[in-house]
Amino acid sequence: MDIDINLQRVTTSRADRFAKVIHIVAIVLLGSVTLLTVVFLVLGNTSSLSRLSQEETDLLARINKQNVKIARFSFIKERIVVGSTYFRDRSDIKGALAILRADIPDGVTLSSLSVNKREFSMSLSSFSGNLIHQYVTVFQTKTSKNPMFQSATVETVNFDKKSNKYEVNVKGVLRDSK
Amino acid sequence: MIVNNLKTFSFTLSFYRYKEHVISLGAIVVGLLLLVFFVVPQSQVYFAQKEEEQVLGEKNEVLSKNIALISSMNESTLEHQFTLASKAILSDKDYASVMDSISRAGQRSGVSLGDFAFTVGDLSNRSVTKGSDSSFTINILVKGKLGEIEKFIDSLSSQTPLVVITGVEVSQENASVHATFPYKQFSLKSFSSLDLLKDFTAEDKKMLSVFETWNVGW
Repeated sequence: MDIDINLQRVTTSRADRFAKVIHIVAIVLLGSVTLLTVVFLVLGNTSSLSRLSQEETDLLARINKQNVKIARFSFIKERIVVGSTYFRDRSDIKGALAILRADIPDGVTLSSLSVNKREFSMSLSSFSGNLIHQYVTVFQTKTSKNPMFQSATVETVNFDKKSNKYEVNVKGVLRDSK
Repeated sequence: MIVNNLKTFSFTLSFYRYKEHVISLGAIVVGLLLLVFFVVPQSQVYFAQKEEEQVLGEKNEVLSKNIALISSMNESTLEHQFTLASKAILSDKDYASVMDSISRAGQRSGVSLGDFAFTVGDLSNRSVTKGSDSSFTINILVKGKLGEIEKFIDSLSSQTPLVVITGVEVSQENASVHATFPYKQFSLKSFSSLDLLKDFTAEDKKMLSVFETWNVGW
């Protein structure tokens, strides 16, 4: 039987499904758009931006009254940072000096002494070879035991016939205390 | 004429046949247009607003914390610490303070002071970049016994302004002490009330107490 003779139009199931799908899509899309519009409108109206802006103005007014205190505080903080950096960097030159000049027996003269952050050198003289030997022994013992010294070497021991004097030169490396 | 009428009739017939499809498709197009030209910009505005809110909220929080911290500080204590810090670290090549410090150390230790050899570079160039820290070195010639020289170094190191002794050369009773004086100019640009201020840490307090000990004897 030819379907074209029916009074009621018979649609194919495929076209029917297509119609249903686009109908649903249209409803869902329009519904979503409406919902999203409403949601964003509501959320936009409940924004706390104006309250926060007012709060910011109030806080800035309050903090501006404390600007001198803040500047002072920041200044102190900054000085502390600089102070700490250089303070940490200070090496105990005075301590090294004290250790080096200690135990120099009477009769031994300290001719020169040089100490910096990394190394030291000194020269001593005496008319007595024994006293020089005594000092060198003590010096070697104390520098090997003291953690301040990384190394210490007796560079030269000379005898000057003209002056009848013994002279000793010692050098060494100081340990980085940082 | 008849053909045209037939075409119009055929189109009208098709429209009525697919009326539902056409309305649905139209609704989809309208929905998409609304989505693109209305909902998306609206959402962008909303999220931008949210972001601004967050930034402003954080800023207000920082401001509140800073106000709380600063308000909790005793004004006279802060003033005292400010004085200590100003004396402890030089703000520029302040030769007067340096010479005063050297003289005081000399008096305390008993050494005779010789010439000060300033190796600070161009004296006319007193201005330094604000906020940057720098230093200048002075070679101080002193005359005294080794114990006195030691005492001089100790005195100089334990009073204001901060000094770093970088070397000592002793020959007989003459010594050359190399002293480096750090300095830093304070820049207003380096602080902002919008930066979160942090209270003095234990280390900071330790440094402040060191400044305090240096200040004794002024």
